[in-house]
Amino acid sequence: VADPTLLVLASLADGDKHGYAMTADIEAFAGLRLGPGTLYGAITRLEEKGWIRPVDSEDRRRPYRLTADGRRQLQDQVDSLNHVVRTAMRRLKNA
Amino acid sequence: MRAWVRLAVRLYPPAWRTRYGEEFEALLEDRVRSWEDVADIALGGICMRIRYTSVPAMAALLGVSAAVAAGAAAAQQPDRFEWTALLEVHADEASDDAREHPQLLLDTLRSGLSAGSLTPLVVRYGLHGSPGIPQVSEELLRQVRGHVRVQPVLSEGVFRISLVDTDAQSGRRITEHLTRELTRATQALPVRLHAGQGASVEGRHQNANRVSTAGALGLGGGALVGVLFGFARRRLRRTWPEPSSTSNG
Repeated sequence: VADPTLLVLASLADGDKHGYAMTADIEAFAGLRLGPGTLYGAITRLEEKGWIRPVDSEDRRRPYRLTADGRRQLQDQVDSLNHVVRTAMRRLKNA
Repeated sequence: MRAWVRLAVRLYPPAWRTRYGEEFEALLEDRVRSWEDVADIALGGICMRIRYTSVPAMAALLGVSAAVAAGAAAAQQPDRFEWTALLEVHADEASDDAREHPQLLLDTLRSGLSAGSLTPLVVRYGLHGSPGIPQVSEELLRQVRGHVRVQPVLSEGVFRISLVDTDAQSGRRITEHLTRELTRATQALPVRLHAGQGASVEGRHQNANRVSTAGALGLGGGALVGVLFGFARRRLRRTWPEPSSTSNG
């Protein structure tokens, strides 16, 4: 799973985060280090789709929040991935 | 490295920098550790520049770029001049062979383009590239034949000799030479070729408009690619399906 948009959605699933916190979180749970350009490319696309939104902040580091649409989208993707994983596991056992 | 980061950030479109610039720079202050990060920022800037370019602007950008590239490539091509001479056909009406004169003339022309006939021409005009060493290979003769076309124009009763060369003057000389040789070769035949009034050698700059033609084709092609790319980009943005209404929130 290396889609930056999915990783950002997963990172925001447990609370608001700014860019630096997202990269640290993604590195911790996925073992992937997103570059700044890749991260903000994903943030731009997700905000355009309405799946995340910026949160008001005094800090220059602006946090982002998952929207209801974004949460549904993440759920759909996770369900789909789960199906793939279960199928692959079953086939590996039977092989 | 900081200077390169600032340069890479400039690749992002102004509209994007207005919206994300401050928080992006805050991230870069904490985050940039390697040249890999700099490359990632630059690549992101190029992608974002494409993303923020409208379809008409994309068409104009690609059209102008393609026009300049095609025009520059065409300008590198050498000039090509086509020289043409017309030889009139004269036949002895009393001769039986005259009825067969098209085939007879074609055989004569074929012999006129043989190695024995072309070699002196190649040596004389230095077509082998080394005037002091007149070595004429079969390959070179094949190339010379490839540049010479002899076509019967039966409706007008003439043969047209045409030659394409990158050198205007040598093209004219070779065409004149061929015209003389073919006239001489048919003198003793019942049908003869004659360089009459209308047989003067005429030249034409074959690719004088190559830069403007290539530029126009590049402009049109580039603009078309830009429009197609713009519409394809809109579709590619939808990498995921829209959220389903039945899923739990």
